[in-house]
Amino acid sequence: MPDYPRRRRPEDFLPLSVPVFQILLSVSDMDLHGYAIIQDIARRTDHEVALTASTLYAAIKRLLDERLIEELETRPDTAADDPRRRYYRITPAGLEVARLEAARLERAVRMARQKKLTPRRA
Amino acid sequence: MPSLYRAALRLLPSETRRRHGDAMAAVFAEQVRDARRQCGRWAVLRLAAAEFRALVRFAWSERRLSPGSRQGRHPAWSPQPERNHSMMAAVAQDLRYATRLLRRTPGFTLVCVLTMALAIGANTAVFSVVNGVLLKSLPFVEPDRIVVFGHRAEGDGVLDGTTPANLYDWMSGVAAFEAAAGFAPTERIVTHRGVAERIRGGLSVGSIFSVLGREAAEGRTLTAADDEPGAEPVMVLSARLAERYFVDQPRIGQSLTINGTPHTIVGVMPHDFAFFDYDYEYWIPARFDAAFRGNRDQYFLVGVARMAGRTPRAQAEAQLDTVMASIRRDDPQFTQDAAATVVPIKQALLDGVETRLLVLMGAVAFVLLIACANLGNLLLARASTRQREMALRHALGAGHGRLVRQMLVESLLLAAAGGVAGLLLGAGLLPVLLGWLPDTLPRLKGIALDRTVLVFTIAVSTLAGLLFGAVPAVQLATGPPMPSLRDGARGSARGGLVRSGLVSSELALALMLLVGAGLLVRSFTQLVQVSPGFVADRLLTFTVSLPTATYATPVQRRAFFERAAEELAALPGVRSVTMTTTLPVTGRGNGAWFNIIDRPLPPAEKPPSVPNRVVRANYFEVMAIPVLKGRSFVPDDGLDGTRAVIISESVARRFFAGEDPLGRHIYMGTPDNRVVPDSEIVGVVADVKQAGLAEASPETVYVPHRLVPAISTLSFALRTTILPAAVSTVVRDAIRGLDSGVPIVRLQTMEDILGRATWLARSSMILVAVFAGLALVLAVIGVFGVLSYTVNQQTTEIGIRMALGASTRNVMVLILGHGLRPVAVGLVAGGIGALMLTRFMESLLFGVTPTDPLTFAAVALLLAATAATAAYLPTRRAINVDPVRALRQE
Repeated sequence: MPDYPRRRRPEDFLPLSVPVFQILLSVSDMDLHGYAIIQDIARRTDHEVALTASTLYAAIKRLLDERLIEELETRPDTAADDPRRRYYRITPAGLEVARLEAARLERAVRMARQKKLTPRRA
Repeated sequence: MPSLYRAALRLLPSETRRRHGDAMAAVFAEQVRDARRQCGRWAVLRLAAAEFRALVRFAWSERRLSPGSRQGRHPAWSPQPERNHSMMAAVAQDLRYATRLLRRTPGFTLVCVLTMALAIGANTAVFSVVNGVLLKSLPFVEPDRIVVFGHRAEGDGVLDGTTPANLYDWMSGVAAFEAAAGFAPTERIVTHRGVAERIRGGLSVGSIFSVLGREAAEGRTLTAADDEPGAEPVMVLSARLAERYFVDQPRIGQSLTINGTPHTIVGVMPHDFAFFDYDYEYWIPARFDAAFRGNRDQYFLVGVARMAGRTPRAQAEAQLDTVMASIRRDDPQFTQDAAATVVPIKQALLDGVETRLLVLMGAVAFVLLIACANLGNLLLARASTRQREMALRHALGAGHGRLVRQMLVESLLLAAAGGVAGLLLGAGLLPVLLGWLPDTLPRLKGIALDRTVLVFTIAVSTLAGLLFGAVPAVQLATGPPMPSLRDGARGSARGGLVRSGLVSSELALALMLLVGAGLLVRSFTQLVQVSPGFVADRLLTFTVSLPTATYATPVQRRAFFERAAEELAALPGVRSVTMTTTLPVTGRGNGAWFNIIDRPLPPAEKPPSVPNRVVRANYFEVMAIPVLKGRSFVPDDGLDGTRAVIISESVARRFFAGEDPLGRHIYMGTPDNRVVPDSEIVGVVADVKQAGLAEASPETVYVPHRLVPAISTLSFALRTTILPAAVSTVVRDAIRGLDSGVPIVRLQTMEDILGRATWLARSSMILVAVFAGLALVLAVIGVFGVLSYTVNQQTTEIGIRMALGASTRNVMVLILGHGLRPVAVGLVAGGIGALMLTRFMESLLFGVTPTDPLTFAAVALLLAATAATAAYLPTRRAINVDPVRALRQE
């Protein structure tokens, strides 16, 4: 572990970058391996957020270091599974951070609506 | 790709790599696999580029945080550590020093910059074309999901059109398509302010625009409702046509007359929009009536669809085939062997030009590599003369790393200067290149020196600088600790090896490039020697189409064409005039079922399709096509005389092998839609190249005009007694005099048409040959430079040998042997490389194999001879060395 001071309070992490928030969303309800996270995000965002392996792991490493997600010791034993795959699960702290970020985004959207900035189809 | 990625992962600090490297490699491998499966190799390259960019960023941020690094204890948000400032200062100092040094040796600098500029300029210009035609994404929303579909063509398996009824069934019955529509190219008479023009446009079945996902720049696009049988005629214009017709005026709501019917303009597309290619100037709804929507024997429509999500194409093809199978139960004869095919739209658009452009890109890349080898040699030679300087700086405390960095900064500076000069040269070359490329090249109008090209040029220049700068830098870094200050300038044996290696690789590259060029030259000479089957000399051609609204009946149409032919024949300088639906070399003509009346097929079996051409009775005489059997047409042949047709010898061979075709009766088309009515075969004529010169078996059935008089578009061919271009004005006036509402298009000589047919082959041959010539010159300069240098270095040795009694011959063998050994190595390596590479060019070759021994031998001989000449000059200087003077130098 690098010896820089650890940030403690969930609100200190906000605002989250797009990849970090999307990764937390992906693992919020199931354990996924790296490529499955990329695919899940691409599907949900209609390919608007397309992560590369490095962007994904830069974010995963930060999330692991901050204990917002954890790597699973055991893996779902399917015969066809690539042994190099690592599976990730969200921690309670991670859930809290994701919740706070969602609330923050919701507040922002509400403000936009009040100013009559309703989304339009492109 | 995965092994390259493994290597690149080493950029990460070891701890991060240990923890995540394997998982990252696994993710990347899966992404590459999916990208290749779904979108092909360009998508893989794009993915790799994005991944490597992200990896460098990740590595950079990790290294700043990593506990092992000097800045490890600083949190990420701390200011830049002191060390970076001193590093910047040192690089700035290196830069100043390098600039001063290069300014002091202007000759050397000029040679380096010019060499780089030539190579980078050629790369920039060719890459602009490759980028505009191959790489740039199509102007649609998510273009990778757009496909075209139709039937699999019989011979080569590429896309063939489909019929209205099949298309409508497909458009509604395929789940793999999120949206589907159809289109066909069309060329219609557009009248604006009384001036009639024939302009290319697109026919939209359903709504192509909702499939492509593009909105109009002004107004709206075409909707499926516009395509309903009773809908008002509307049209959408390209930005170009809108600007040409309505300068600074409102366009929406105006109307243009198309083939006699006024169409209301409802939209103008943006400038960047092109579908199918940039030459479509307008789009109109097809508005087929109910009867035509049920047609299953006119194959002229192409489907266009947006795939649902990432559905594999094979699945879409299977679903199309399932629809086909259900149609086949009702209409067995029409759909007997009609399999479906789905092709990515880019592939359909770029049909055949991809390989040609990639070969061209390969050629300029080779030129760049040769230039790099040359510059590496030059820098190496210079480095050995700078050994004293380096030794001095080392003695004053500069470390190895510092000296290597200095060398790299120098070469990068040279590369930057060369890159800027190359960019300017490339910008100048691009218009020349565009002038050489055929105007039929797809996406030609999208070619520009844009940001992508700029990034490419910067990247390539930097890479080149690192590449040729690495040669002396590596030698410096791995060489003996430091040459002493006392020693004179003398190359090491190791330097000799590097130099020979560079010469070998230059020659190997040059040989591969020259073989490629040689093969293209041989193909081209074979192609232009092909006889078209008629006399192309002094023929003026053009096409006339009659507005069907004013020329409603077959009698009116035929009367116009006959009168035009007679008036044109009376013009001074014109010997004779004929007409045809499709001029030779320009296309196969319309295909229709070929039915032999006394040889009926079982009802479920589909007769073969054969192209036909409607011609004036004197066609064979005017075009000088030999009649092999039977007779030519006479003016009486037609509906009210003899119902006669004439077949080409390849048709006779295919259908009447060992029989006499004369007197047999045929009809063309389907039983209830006879394109050519029952007629007798009265003659067999020699084959004529109909669709390009490389065509193997041009089957044609010739039909007299009077047998099918309803035709409204015919091409004229005028045999002239003077230069054909000289009569073009009077010809135009004559047609306008008959009816000013009838436009003339494609007024050109037959020589032009033949030139156009070989244009792509010729332009790529010339370009590759030019680059090969450049490569040859660079390689020869390289050989000459290295040998001169070696001779200079060996002057003392030569002097001693000659003083000890060695003969001139001995010395010559020594020097030449020394110089030509790397040449031989290079030629052998290049030969092997060429054998491996030329097979990728197979589709571009005509009448010559990729391993053509004559080309290989000729190129090897040429290179060996030039290299020997380049070696001879320094050798002659060596044997004239005065032993006494040589010894005194020591």
